[in-house]
Formats: sequence, C-alpha cells, structure tokens
Amino acid sequence: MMRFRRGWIGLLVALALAAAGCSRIAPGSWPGVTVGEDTVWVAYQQQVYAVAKETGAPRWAFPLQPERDQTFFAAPQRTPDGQTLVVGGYDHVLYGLDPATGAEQWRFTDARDRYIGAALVTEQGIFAPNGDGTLYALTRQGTLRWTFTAQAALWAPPATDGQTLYLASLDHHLYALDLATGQEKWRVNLEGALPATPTLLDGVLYVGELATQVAAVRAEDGTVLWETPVAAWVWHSPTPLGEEHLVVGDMEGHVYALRRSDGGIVWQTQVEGGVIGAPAVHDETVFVTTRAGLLIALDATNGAVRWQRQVHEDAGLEAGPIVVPDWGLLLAPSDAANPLRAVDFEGQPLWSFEPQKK
Amino acid sequence: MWTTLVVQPMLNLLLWIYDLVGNFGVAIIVFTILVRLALAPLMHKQTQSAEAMRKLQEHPKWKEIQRKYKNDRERLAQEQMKLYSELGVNPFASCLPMLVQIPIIFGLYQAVILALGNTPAQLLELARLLYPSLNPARLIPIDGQFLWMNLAYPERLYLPGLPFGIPVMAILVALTSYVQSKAVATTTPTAGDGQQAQTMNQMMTLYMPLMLGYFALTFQAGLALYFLTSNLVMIAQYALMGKLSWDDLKFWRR
Repeated sequence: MMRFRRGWIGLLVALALAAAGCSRIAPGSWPGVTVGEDTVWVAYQQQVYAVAKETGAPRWAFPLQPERDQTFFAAPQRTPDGQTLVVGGYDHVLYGLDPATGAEQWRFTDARDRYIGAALVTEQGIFAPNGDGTLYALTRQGTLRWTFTAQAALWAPPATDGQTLYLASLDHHLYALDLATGQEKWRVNLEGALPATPTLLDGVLYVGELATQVAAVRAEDGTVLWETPVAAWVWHSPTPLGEEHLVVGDMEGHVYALRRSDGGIVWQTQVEGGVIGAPAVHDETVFVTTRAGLLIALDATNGAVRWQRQVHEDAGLEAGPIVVPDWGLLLAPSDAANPLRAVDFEGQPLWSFEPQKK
Repeated sequence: MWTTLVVQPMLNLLLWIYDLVGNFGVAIIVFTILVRLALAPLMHKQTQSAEAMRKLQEHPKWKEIQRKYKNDRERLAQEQMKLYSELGVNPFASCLPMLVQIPIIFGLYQAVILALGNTPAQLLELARLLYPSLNPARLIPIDGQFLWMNLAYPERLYLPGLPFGIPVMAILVALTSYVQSKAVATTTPTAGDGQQAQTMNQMMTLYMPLMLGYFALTFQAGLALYFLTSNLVMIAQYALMGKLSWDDLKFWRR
C-alpha cells in the first residue's frame, strides 16, 4: 500500500516535470525575407541573418548570443536612406540595426505583444504593427510619434499611397489612417480576419481574407466593390498579374487568377499542399510555394502547371517566393537549419544558406 | 492519434461552447462543469471504493495481517492484495478519476493554446483541426479576454502602485486544491494505516496544492481557470454527497 502511494507521488512529480518541460510551446511562423542590392536579410527563429545575395555566404547574425525567449519571424525592413534595418521580435521589442554589421542602433520597447509581421518603413517613418492590436508610428530613429489601436491583433504592415495608411486587422476591419497623425479616415468590416497587407493598385485595395474570399475596396472611402468567394482561407496579399488581373492561392492549394475590375475568376488551378505565401510573377510565369515543400511554375495565361520541384522534403514553404530579376528566386523553407535557398527560373538550385550552429 | 482522439474533439467542443456563450472564459467554465459531470459516476465509484477500503482496515483479518507481517513488507503487501481479492475490494478504483483527468489536462492545455492561437503557425494548425460544422470566419480570432485575464498568457493582476503582478489564480488554485484534499473525507488517514502512511498522506495533501498552484502560475490562464473551476465543482459534488469534512480544515484545533 505504501509502495502504491509512493508510486502516486512519483507519478505526480513526473507529471510536474513533464508539464514544466512542455510549459512553453515554441512560437511558430515562417522565415521573413527582405532583398537588398547585394544582401538578403532573413529572420527565422532565434536570429536575424545577413546573407550575400549572389552566393549565400553569411555576413552577420543578430543577436550573437540569442536569449531563450528571443525569436524573429517578421521580415527585416531597411530605411530608405539605407542606414537602419528595422526588425521586430517575439520578445515585444522593435530593433534598429546597422544593415552592414548587425550592430544594434536602438530599440523600442513600448509594445505589449509580439511583432508578427514586418514594419512599413518609408521616408515619413516606421509603422510597426503589433500583436497587441496597436500600430506604432515611430521616427526613423525609433522615437514614438503616435499610435492607433484596433480591436484585435495586427499581423501585417499597412499599405500606403504616401498620405494614407491602409491597415488590415484580425478584427475583420480594414482601416484607413492619416499617415501623419494616425487619425482614422474610414473603416470597413469585411467578413473575416485579415492577416496580410492589402494590395493597393490604382486606388483600389485588394484583400485576402480568412473568410475564404478576396475583396476589393475603394481606397478613397472604403466602399466594397466586389467580393469573390474561394475554397479556403487566403493568407497573403493578392499579387498583381499583368495590368488587369490578380493571382491568389488558398490554404487548400487552389490558385486563382481574378479580374481586378469585378473579381471574376479567369482561371483556377489546384496544386499539392496549401498556399500560404504570396505567389510571385515573372515573365509570363506564376511561381507558387506550398506547405508540401513544393515550388510550382504555372502558365500565367491559363494556370497550367509547367513544372514543379520538391524543394524540401521535411519542411513546408509557407513563405512565398521572391523574384530576383537577374537570376531567379529566393525561397525560405521553414527549416532552422536551412532557412534560405536560391534557385533559377527553372527551379534548379543555385545556393543554400545554412546558419552556423550555436 | 493523440491529436485526433483527444485534442481535436476537446478543441471543437470548446469552440462550439464559445460560439454559444460568446466568451472563452465562460466556455472553459462550462466545459469543465461538463467534464466533472461526465466523471461523476467515476467519482461515485471512488467514494464507494474508499469507503470499502476504510471498512476493510477495521476488519479483524486486516489487523491480523498487519500484526503478523509487520516486519516483512513484501509478504504484507502480498497478503493485503489477497485479502482485497477475497473481499472484492479494488484498491485502485480511487485512482481512476485522477488518471482520467491527466489526458484531459494535457488535451485542454493544447486545446486552449490552439484556440487562442496568437502566432501564424498556431492559427494554421487551428484551421487544420476545426470540424466543418463550425464557422471559423465568424469565430476567428478568439477573444481571450476574461475578467482581468488574457487566457492565452499566465495570469497576473496588476494593481496601481504595485511593481509586480499578483498571481491571483495560482493562489486560488492552490487554496481550493488544499481545501479539496483536506476536507474531502475519503482522504482522511485511518488508524490502520500506520504513522508512515499518515506522514505520506499529509505530504500529498501539501504537495499537490503546491504543484497545481505552480502550474497555474506558469501556464496559460485558461488552464488555471480549468483547475479552479474543477476544484470548486468537486468540492460542491462532495458536499452534495455528504463527504465534506470541514472540521479537517481547522488545523488550529489539533
């Protein structure tokens, strides 16, 4: 009987230890990538890396010694003068770094939650969306100017036409804000959470929704022009396709080309694996990455699959491909050992970046 | 399989209740009450088993075994098991409610994190696990605010002038766990158990509330809310069964 009771205590202690070990589920997202003239910056898990664009050779990593709760997924953004690289972390801190060396220039610590999406960085300043639902407007030196708070988390940077910010929120609203003061100009309630930046083209905002639809909204006053239902959640910003169309992919692997004028479906294709990141377009080809680790090239005129390559066997490609016009595409697998790869326009590998083990 | 059999049904039930009541904290409370009601038959068996164990320890044969084999632990245990079998008493029946709760606790922990998914990867995972009957467009994002707590994070109550947050839920969980373990008559040690067993029982009565309080301190507030609600419901259940002994709480009388 006493052995049984000892066993009970042992079980409870084991439970406590196991539970303590599980008490922090690792936060998760996919790599955030930004391309400069000769450098690519990628944020993934515990560090931000600078990588030579032509060769994939590492240049620097920040921080040198990562702390346990310090993780980065939002794409770093460079200021227009090239002097500062702005990156937000899951530790609630927005960092200003030297793009050439990774040295910390400043940090902004007022936010109360994670930076999920990248900041928008313009001549007028830095606009950093935060998981606490607040858009923080800062000077390029990291000093707070104003804030705007939505009703739920902000996961994507706003779009802008230079005078107005167009901000998509998980609270189902699209907001228009005065860029200088943060004053709200209008808001519109779309039917689902908005996880990505709206695409602004010729005075119209195109938005992908978790309500399984794509919407077009007039930027001037927030009037909804059309809404096109699709099969599953749309996670990314719609990609312009020529002068008249857009291309989007959904979580179930459907890829659509839509008419910008009325949202009508021009063509539709099914690929293997969900599409999370925005497709990229180059030279009459639509490039799509999927959660199955595939890179797929589609004919831009009819959606026919030209080829597909298995880029990664064990990790998804949630981040969309990035076109480097001179030679190919940058891909960001959700793999800490290999978060950045370069391929040519036929999908053949060029180089691979593997961070040094800490 | 764990996700399909445990986490996914739990998650969808939580979200279905949330869709009905409109508040995630209330959904957790309702969910907990449903779990405790489902476990009520097991609890009834547990109290019956504990009662049988208590009567057994006053049985002449039990006392004889204790006396005869007091220096031979192994033989004592063998004879005790024989006697359980002869008299039809299951010494493990009292464990069943506790064992059943373990997967519920783990499953609920994961379900709360998934439901309140505050990273893209968690939201993707949530999308994968939702049953088609739920309308995710209306539900997402789940509002994790309940009273002063954000259920997705460990709870602290910040008061003006205080430089630190007060872990109210951790304190309440530890207190109610202690009340539950002391005041429920089935756990009162009996004369036949011996000094060592009594000491162990007292250790359990102390360590269990501390451990649960630690969980409530470090884990998401949603889980702490489950622990607190579960303790309060269990105290109420035992009170209705007449098994509550408030005198055992009056430590100053000893």
